[in-house]
Amino acid sequence: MLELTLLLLIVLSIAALQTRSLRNAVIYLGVFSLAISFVYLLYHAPDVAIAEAVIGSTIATILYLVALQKYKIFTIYYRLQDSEVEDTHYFSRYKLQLVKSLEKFCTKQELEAQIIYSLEELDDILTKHQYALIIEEHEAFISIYAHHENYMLDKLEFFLDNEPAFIRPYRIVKMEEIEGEVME
Amino acid sequence: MTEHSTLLSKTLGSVFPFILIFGIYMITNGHVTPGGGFQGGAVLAAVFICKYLVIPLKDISLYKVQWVEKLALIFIILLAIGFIATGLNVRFDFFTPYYMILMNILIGLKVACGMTIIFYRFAYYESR
Amino acid sequence: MRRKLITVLLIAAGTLTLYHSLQIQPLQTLPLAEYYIDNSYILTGASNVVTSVYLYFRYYDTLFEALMLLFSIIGVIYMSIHEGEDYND
Repeated sequence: MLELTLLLLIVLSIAALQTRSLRNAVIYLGVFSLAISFVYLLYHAPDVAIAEAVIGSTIATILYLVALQKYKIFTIYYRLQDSEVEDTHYFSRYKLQLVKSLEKFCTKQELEAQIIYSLEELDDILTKHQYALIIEEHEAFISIYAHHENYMLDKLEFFLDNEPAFIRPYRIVKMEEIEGEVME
Repeated sequence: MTEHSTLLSKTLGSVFPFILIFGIYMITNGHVTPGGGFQGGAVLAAVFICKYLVIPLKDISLYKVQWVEKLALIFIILLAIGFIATGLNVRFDFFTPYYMILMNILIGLKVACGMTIIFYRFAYYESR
Repeated sequence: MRRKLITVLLIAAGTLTLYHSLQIQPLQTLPLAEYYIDNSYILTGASNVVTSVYLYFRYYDTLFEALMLLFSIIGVIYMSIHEGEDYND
């Protein structure tokens, strides 16, 4: 029984390292904690077994899952100009294409895209709302504003460069660097 | 976990008092049976996590919880140093079992408050 | 190349540790453990030896562990993103 559980520990730890998705790794770690608490019980250490079962298998697992859930929603503000609202072609073709590309990116990263069309000024969005990306459209290119600590930015740039359906030129503005320019 | 699940809330709601009683039992009987302040406090913190999973309601004042936790730490230090380090345990050795129970209760209170603070801090205040 | 070197180093360290642990003779007497097992019930009145060790014989360990938990909570609160604002509600 003891040897079987020890072998199970090795299998579970390798599985937790080798899995692709973070959620599966968290579940593997929870099962690993349960198995190791059983090993402690077989070694006649019930105190340590209780502590490991409660902390490693319950509290840490739920904490990780809640944290993953927190990071799942990816809020994108699409700022429309005033002239675009009066336009009868509210969603033109490339706009739909852009939104579709962003949703594809979010699905690839296991995120849930939440796209908000907004008429507010850029400063208002920056100060009042929680955002991950702000998209603004100009004559020739698209601006993508993001917070400079946003950890998805490099992946997004890589994805947009390799996306064949995404042809319009764009520039990415990191918010911390141009603080003065925005607040003018 | 943001949407309301009936199955989860019914199950956890019926298990809730038993977890509470188990945690209190584990703390107060820590000197006789396996368990003790730390493990029992962690079980009590699991009660608050169950509450979050059933209803994500922000009705706990973390400020007061942290205040209780600091007070428990002060009492732990005063009790341990004042009873053992001063040599009182030799003269009043009849008090030693009560000392163990008191220390277990204080440690359980402190650990439960601490785990609750860490969990609620992560669950409610962290975003992006 | 570097990964292979690290792998060889790790395997060598593992075999060395295994070999060394097989050479060690198991302890014949455990004086401290025997002292605790003999005296814990007489001195403290607690039949759980673990509790009597961490609350009576080694209580400084418990004190600093409690202090460590407090420090970790302070770290979580004051290094999180909101930095303690809207915290008094």
